Amino acid sequence: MVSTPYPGSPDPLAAEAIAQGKRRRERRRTLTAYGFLLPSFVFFFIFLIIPLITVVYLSFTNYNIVTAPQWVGMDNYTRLFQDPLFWRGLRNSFIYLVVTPILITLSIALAIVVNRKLRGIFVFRTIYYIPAVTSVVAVGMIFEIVFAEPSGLINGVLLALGWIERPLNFLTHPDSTLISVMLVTIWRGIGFYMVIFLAALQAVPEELYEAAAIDGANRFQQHLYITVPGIRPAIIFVAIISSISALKVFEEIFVMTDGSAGVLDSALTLMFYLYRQGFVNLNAGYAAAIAVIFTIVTLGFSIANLRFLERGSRDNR
Amino acid sequence: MKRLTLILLIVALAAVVTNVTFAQERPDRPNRDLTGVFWNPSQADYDRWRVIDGVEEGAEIRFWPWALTPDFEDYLNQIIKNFEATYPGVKVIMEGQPAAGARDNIRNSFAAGNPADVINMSDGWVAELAEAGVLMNMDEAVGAAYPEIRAEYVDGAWTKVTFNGVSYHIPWYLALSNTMAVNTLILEELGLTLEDLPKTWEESFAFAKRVREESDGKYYLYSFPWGELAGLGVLNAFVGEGIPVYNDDRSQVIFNTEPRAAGILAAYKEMLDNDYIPRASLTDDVREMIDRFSEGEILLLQTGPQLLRLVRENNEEVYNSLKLVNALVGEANIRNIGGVQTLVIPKDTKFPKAALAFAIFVTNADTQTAFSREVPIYSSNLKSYDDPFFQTTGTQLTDSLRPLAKEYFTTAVNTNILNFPRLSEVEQIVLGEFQAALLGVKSPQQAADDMAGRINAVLSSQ
Repeated sequence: MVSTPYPGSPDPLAAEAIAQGKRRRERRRTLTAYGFLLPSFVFFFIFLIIPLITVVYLSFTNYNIVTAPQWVGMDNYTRLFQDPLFWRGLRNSFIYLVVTPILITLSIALAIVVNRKLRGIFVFRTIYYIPAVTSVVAVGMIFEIVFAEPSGLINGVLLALGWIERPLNFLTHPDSTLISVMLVTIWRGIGFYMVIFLAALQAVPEELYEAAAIDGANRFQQHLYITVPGIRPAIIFVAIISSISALKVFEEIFVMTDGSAGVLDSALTLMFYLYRQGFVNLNAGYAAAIAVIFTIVTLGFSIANLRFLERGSRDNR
Repeated sequence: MKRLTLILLIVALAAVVTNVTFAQERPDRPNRDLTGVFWNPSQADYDRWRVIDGVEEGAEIRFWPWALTPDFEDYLNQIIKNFEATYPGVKVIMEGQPAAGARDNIRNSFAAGNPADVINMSDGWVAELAEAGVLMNMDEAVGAAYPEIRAEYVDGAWTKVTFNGVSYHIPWYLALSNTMAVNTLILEELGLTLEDLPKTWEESFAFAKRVREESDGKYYLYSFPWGELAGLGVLNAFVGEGIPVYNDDRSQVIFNTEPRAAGILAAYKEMLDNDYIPRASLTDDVREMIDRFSEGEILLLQTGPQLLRLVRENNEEVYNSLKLVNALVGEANIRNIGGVQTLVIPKDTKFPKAALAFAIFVTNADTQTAFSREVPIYSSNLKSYDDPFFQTTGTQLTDSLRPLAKEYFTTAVNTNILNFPRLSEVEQIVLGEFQAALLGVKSPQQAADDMAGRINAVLSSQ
């Protein structure tokens, strides 16, 4: 028996039809959304997912780029953990992270300086940003001249002034090569991160500074207790992207050391070692194993970094 | 007006056609001989040049010259024109490779299974491809099949790179490595003459000190490109001093057992510590070494004469002051084969005969003599030196070397330094241990021992 609806009650067939129409519209909307997502997903799949899977596969093979890979199981990983250059590269990559807090501090300081309503301030902002848009090869070549021995810019001036008797060994001493390259990274990065902090600074209410000034806070205290908490999201963002960039550093080292990683491999980072094994020694399988470990390290570091900074953010609320 | 336009158009077209069709006089190539057999061949020349049998009819082969286009494009086009007339029905497509990035292009092309049929590369690049088993065995393809052609080549150049005793390349053009350039401006300022210069490496160590002291620290005797070439350079230095690198069956290196090897490392360390050589030698590459010399602060430049054009581009005053003298030699007075440009053929090429015919054609005596007329490089084909051109001297700095070339290449030996398996890794080992000795991280003897030990580990892993 088919139940008859009471007068005034909704017709179940009509309701069903409405529901079906709604579901169709919903499905169409979903399909449309997937349609829009498809091109980027295809791109993502071809250029990221497939290479990622391939790299993991290659890390279990002996592959010289020229001939077909041969399966060797865990050999590359076993060799990797016994390889002193791998550990040196890992150590140097972590040492390179020192640029991150320096970059953040200097960029915030610079952003505060240029965040003033002065005539022509945009000229300074532009000048500070120029290194960020300059080719790393050009920057590397310029700094090779700056650091050159015996008559580069710094050594030439210091020798002429009589402040030093022998040239400083920026790029020819194992203790100073990595530091010299880090200086270049800092010089290149300040302008870029300054712009991010400058944008964040514009969102910090001016009244807070006025209130703090009335309460007797000096300039430094105002920045410490108002500016820094106010731009914390930008700091988290910069900390993560600059530390990932620091871990991945390659170009500066390649250009400044002419592809050698410095005397005694003193500027050898994990990324550089990956390049050397893959493209100089043609041990692409081994290089793939380095890449896998490097990805895990970077991922782990980024998650830890994010958690740490977010927790700090919550604690301050 | 229409007529004038038409005339102008015809003149322009004629100019283009003339440029394309006929070889041109070029002021920068004063030795080019447009009436010679290369630029103006006859049918008899084509017949004489046809030496490879069974060349595939209708073959289309790709040729990758390295760092020669566009500078030498007209010369290369003439090679192709002559070759296609010599082997009718075979077509050559030239795809010039830039100086930078060519090695990666070559590797990637092999990985993709699509390499060119004839590839020009530096001698140092051949080993890895030979080791990978992707190159044609030239001892079989030429040495066994055409022994009379094989005999035409400079022997040390043919064997410059071998893998398991087999050559996988055909040598193309060579560099003289028995000369060095002297900046006579510095020489005169120091009150010295060419006769005062050191003749051996041993003498040069004391002379380096003298130049620094007599110039009050203004000049250096020489600098080095150790950032790039230390690996080969150090082992060549051992060979030059008569230190045996290998044991008899070449299964191990033994240079560390000879105390003079550590002595060489100690001598360089002393020069570095006392600033008798620029410290930047530790990281300089060849180009930087030439730039440093061009700045006028270095007395001697040890490089192939073909690179002296870089000095001219950098500093004409220094270039005009240059004189060429015999290069420094070691105790063994060994004259070794310098850089060799090679041609290789992929083992799996579709047209092995046509590719081989082209590689032989590019390196035949007439073709290479014409190349030596273009630029001061030297032929790997000994028959080239029968050409009267090699007995003449011209007006250019490097012209004076021509008459010396034949004697040099018939007596120069191959030091077999490029024949290590996993050559790049061996180079890194030598460079690392060399730097450890120079920077005092290890004693010279310890560095030599570690260098040998690590190389032997590579050799025993094969």
